[in-house]
Amino acid sequence: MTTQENLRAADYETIIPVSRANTKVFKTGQWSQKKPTHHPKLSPCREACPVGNNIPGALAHVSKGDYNAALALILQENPLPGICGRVCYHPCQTSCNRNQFDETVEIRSLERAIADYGCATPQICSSPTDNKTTIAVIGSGPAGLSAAYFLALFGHRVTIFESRAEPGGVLRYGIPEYRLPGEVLNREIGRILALGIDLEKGVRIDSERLDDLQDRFEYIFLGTGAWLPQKTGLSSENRETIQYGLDFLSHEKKEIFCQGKKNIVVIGGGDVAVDVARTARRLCGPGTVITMIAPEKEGDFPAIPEGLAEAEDERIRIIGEYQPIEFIGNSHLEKVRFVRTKVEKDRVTGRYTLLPGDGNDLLVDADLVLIAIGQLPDTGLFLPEIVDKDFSKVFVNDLGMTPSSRFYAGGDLTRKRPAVADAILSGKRAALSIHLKANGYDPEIIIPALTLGQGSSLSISAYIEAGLIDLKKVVQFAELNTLLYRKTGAEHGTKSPPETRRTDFSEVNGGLERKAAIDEAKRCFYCGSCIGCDLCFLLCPDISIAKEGDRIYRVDKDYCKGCSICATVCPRHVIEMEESQ
Amino acid sequence: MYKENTVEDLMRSGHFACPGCGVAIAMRLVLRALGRKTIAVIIPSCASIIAATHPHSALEIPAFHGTFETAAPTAAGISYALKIRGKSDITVVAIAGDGGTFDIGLQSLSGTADRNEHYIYVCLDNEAYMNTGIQASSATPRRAWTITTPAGRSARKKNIMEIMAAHRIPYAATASIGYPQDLMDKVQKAKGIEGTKFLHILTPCATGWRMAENLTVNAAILSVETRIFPLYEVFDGKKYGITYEPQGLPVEEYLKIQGRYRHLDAGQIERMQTETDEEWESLYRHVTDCQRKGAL
Ligand SMILES: Cc1cc2nc3c(=O)[nH]c(=O)nc-3n(C[C@H](O)[C@H](O)[C@H](O)COP(=O)(O)OP(=O)(O)OC[C@H]3O[C@@H](n4cnc5c(N)ncnc54)[C@H](O)[C@@H]3O)c2cc1C
Ligand SMILES: Cc1ncc(C[n+]2csc(CCOP(=O)(O)OP(=O)(O)O)c2C)c(N)n1
Ligand code: SF4
Ligand code: SF4
Ligand code: SF4
Ligand SMILES: [Mg+2]
Repeated sequence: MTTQENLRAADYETIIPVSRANTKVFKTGQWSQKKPTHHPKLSPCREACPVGNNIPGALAHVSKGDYNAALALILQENPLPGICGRVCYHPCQTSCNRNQFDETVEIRSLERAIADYGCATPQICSSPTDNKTTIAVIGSGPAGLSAAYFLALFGHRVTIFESRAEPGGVLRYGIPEYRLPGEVLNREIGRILALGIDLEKGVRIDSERLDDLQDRFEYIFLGTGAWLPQKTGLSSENRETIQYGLDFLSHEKKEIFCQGKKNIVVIGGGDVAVDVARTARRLCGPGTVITMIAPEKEGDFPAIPEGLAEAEDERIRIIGEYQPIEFIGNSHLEKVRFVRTKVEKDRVTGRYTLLPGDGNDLLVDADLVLIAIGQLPDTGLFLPEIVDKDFSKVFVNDLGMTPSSRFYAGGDLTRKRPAVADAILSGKRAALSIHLKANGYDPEIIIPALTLGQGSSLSISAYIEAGLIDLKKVVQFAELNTLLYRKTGAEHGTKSPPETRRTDFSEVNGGLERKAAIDEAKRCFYCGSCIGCDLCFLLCPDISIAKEGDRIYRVDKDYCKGCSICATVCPRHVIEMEESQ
Repeated sequence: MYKENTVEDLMRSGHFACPGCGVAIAMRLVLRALGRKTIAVIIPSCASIIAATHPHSALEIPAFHGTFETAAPTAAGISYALKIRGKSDITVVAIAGDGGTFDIGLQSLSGTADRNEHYIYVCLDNEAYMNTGIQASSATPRRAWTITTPAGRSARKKNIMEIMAAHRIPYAATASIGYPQDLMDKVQKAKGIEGTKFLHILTPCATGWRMAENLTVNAAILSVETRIFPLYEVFDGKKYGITYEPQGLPVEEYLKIQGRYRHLDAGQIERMQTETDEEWESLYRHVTDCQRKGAL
């Protein structure tokens, strides 16, 4: 620069001052002590989901059409998504924040879509330096499969012993094909076994074999389920034209019971009763009168509501608030007498008692009665000290361990809700406890830390990615900024017409098409999960949030004035304002 | 359109905007979308204070601070100078408040639009003279409190978009800080068009609207979703298009978070709703009219 130009520049600046310094010398962050932090939190759906699926994370992948990434995420928590996506009682949907906006996200259908359209292999969660141990898993229902799956992912040697010809437990021999097709079951069990798990089929474990297993294996997981029928206790119950739910469903030639029957009465209001009634419908055709009778009020039946509605579509009569008192008939059953009943739940024990109700008895014609009022485990082969005789179940603590420290148990054998997702959770819990114990960690400290919110569910991914999500903070609807969301109805899959269903065992629910599933996934608020929408970053008036990568944001406390715009605007309540020191 | 990897922030931290300032957000987004090859003309307003307090600048681009009534001709002049020097790749943008646009700068703005000078005019509308302490402008909505309209302004808000459309400039658009992507897309669109482009951006002001400072963006979103401030474009003064279909939430949702409307009774709120509906219908007629003409 010449001297002349320098002079000219200086002259200008006496007339028109020029700002050449940078405002960054002003640490305007000192105006406020409040600073935002990005911290992903728990969604209420995930807190409620027994398997602890990272629902918002997976749905964010689906919303972009990436089913593979979604499945990989789901497989971190759930070995059986195609099954849960079909038969789970979906407590996630009951808790979904979207209920308070329009209607729940169809999470279950989306889980199914992820399992059916995605392709992924489960991620190994062990390091080579971890100690490895050996485990015998008894029973290949969802509890046993889940325990085996997670133990294998942690690198342990697992052998499953199954008394039946094929693995799956109730999933194969109880839940009918029209809800859960065999190929789905085979696909999901295949993926589990492919982790290098040994399966010994057709091997019933008795007390003697159990002793032998104790010599061969370090730990034993008991997942034998509940297969003994609960009976009404009525003296007139014993005859051939009375069958029990799970025995009937798992019977190879169950059609013989139904042949020629005109009036079938199903006793019970749970999922088993519904499946028994619907199976009977398919076996005896549209002409037979099938009536389902339970002590609960209609609308309060314990069965999953969708299944009940489908049963009604299949012309199954549903009657509530009655219980049987007499099976009438001489050599052949002719009628069943029912009395008016009401159900009372003890607030403390949670036990139900049946009390007499007001109203007349009911006489129902019946040439076949199918009783599905519950199943009990066979606990005869176990050490007496681990059996809770009051309930005929096996004791387990919060770590999934029985009073005998090498024995763990889960599923219907224990006093947990008899459901697939809860069985999966119990297997996961035991697997994690065994893994921690085998490696000298204290499961009593770690398991509570991995528990999701106030619920009972556990996260394996939280164990691996420690600290990424605040598992104790559940995002409430009122905390979301929903201004940018629109009210839209949920996408529902197709159902086959009721007429064809009355004879056919093919799957009733068609699920969501790929495109519809993507649209449905977009309805998710992704409560507590950052999806990288950049709103916080772009809308900071003080340019105090730096974007450092995909979904990675850093707040610059030197300049953040604590206006809270970022925290207010985030549609997913990822950001919170905190006093900084 | 707007691509993330080609943009950077041209506004710096450490400026003196009030916490939560909508003007600062809008300025930041406009400059992100325009890019480094930009010269700004800024006139007295909150934007000018945010951009610089001598000798410190919050901008990474050259900016000229002009006089209150001359944002438009100053920008047009710079644009001419660049043309003469053969520099066709530099965008000139005029940044002014609502007072500087709707009131004092209107005449000179009209002149440049009439001549279709090549530059972008950005009006950052916080609906009053905020920088000097909340005096009403002709952009202040009917019934809004300011210190010069303690019982609420009686005249309605001037429709600056129709005024600009009447000049038949090639591009005029409304934009909102609640929809940053849409805002940046419009800025980039304006950048690619020859002639005078006008952007009307509503920039909620916590201080002047008597509102919590964390709510400026939500207020901007609500202004759009209640159809108080619809997002639309006008090409050549004739071709109207809605760029974002609002939900049509009740205007009360927008009014109730702002202290400047606290004195409104139910009847007045209802009239605000009716007036908003009428304005929306009239805008919608423009849109359907030109769709019909387009179909002919
Ligand atoms: C008809 C029906 C419908 C249902 N519908 C639903 C539904 O829609 N949704 C839902 O969430 N839940 C449903 N349930 C409940 C759910 O299926 C069970 O809670 C779940 O299967 C329990 O899993 P589990 O692993 O404990 O036992 P099971 O699935 O019963 O598996 C136990 C396995 O252990 C094997 N076994 C038993 N004893 C031995 C032994 N001594 N040696 C070797 N192997 C042994 C059995 O053969 C079986 O394979 C339904 C149950 C039934 C019966
Ligand atoms: C000719 C002239 N008159 C008055 C002023 C004082 N003044 C500076 S900024 C301002 C208010 C600007 O209001 P607006 O254009 O709405 O911008 P805002 O501050 O609201 O962003 C006024 C009146 C001035 N700078 N020049
Ligand atoms: S909106 Fe999405 S993340 Fe939130 S509760 Fe519902 S499914 Fe879960
Ligand atoms: S928007 Fe910016 S200034 Fe406001 S609290 Fe967030 S980081 Fe701080
Ligand atoms: S505003 Fe968007 S980018 Fe920011 S934390 Fe929330 S979800 Fe993530
Ligand atoms: Mg103003």
